[in-house]
Amino acid sequence: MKKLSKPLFPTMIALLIIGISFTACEETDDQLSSRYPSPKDPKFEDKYYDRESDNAVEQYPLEELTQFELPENWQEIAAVQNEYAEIIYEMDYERLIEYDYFLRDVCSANRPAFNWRDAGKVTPVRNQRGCGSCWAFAAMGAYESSNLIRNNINADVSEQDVLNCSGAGSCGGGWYDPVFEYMLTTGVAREVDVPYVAIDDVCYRNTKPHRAINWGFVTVKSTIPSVQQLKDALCKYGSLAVAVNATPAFAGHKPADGVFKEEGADEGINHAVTLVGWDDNKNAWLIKNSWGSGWCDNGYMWIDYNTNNIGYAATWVQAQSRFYAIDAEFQKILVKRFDIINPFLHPKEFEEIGG
Amino acid sequence: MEQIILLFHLWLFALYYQPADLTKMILNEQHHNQQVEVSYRDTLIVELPYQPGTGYYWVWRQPDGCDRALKLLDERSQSGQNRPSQDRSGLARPGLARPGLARPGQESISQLRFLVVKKEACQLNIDLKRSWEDHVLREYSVKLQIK
Repeated sequence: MKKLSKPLFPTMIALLIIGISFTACEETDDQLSSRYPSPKDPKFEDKYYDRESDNAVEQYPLEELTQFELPENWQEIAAVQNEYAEIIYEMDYERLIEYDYFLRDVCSANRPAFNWRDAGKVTPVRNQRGCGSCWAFAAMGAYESSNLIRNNINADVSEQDVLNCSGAGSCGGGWYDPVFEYMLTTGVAREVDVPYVAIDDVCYRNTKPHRAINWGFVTVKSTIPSVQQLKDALCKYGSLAVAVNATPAFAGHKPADGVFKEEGADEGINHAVTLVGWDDNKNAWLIKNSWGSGWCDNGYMWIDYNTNNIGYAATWVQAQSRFYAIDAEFQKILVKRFDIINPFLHPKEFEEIGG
Repeated sequence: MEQIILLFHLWLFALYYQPADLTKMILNEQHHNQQVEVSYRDTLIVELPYQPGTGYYWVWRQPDGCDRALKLLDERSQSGQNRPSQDRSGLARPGLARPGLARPGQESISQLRFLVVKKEACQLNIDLKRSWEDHVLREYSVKLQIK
């Protein structure tokens, strides 16, 4: 366990509070404020905002920030936790606003073409192999993209952990929306900790550092949103998890054949992919598949807006801000006061952030 | 009277005559590595489970010992049953879909239909593979005795 010298502690807290007071002086957009309720809102008084109940609550859950098993002196830790919870929440709140401004600069639904791949906000193409876990890959594709956009972290998140632990499905199929719900409450492991083996396996007890802060359907699950709605969601949240009807023609499509379009292929859905952009000149979406980089165009495909039910049950997710989830200052506090290293942090990451 | 006899014969003909290519023989997983008797002009249907969401499809291995004896008529598959309601030009509309009937990654049935065009013994080989990869995930084979 790493230990910090005690005199550093008050200095760090002072710096943290000063830093927050500077950022808090910035004017915020009314619209954004209504979307992301501030702890300063009179409605919340001195309490904290609870996402699920949409109410102020007395205490912020310890697990929300620390992710470790509760030690015996957890009440003592919780007291410190609560002391800094508002500060950390506010940091994330500011971060969300920055994130929205960033997205507005980068992506506009009025543009004739945009995609997150060319913006460098999509992780490499994966390969699900013979397991029907496309739903997990689509979910992690959307999450990893959001993580890149929000935190600029190119993380490889464990689809196997999702497969084993989320309860959202199996190698026999599943849906991505329960995965995101699972990411709100529990989190997902790193690929390096639970590597993909393409079979149904038991849930291992790992640290699960990758968490979502929010998710939702673009419209409702049983619909295909309109082109405009999907573009708006892509800009607002990043890449989306969507369903599609995969056919032999879909699987065998070659990029040289242009945009994929198939007549009479609108009977249901059987596959999930990540929607990463659009091009009105092509009248097509850009999708990232999970069939390896040898498929179609290096694992991607341009698919017509109106074919194979592409876009069905479109779902967005927002990765938890690293600023909020893995806070170096808070980590140092934990080490100093309780001799505990937050297992949320991989040792390498801990070094990277100066722990 | 002659007309009645003619109609009677036509009725008998319609009752007993069955075009050879309408006789269907359905094979499935249980016939893997088995020997099966089929008749000339039979329609041979091979039904095998697969998962469209993986990109792996059953394909007739070429060249194959049954190249001359069989002619591939078509390949079909059962797709999922979720029928989304949609309005591409405006707002999406919920309501018509039956969520839960189909889900990404689920299993489906692949159907390859062959016409038996030559009397001979041969081994039919079908591979579960991705068209852009050499790797074969599963193999299915059946020995045909064509009479």
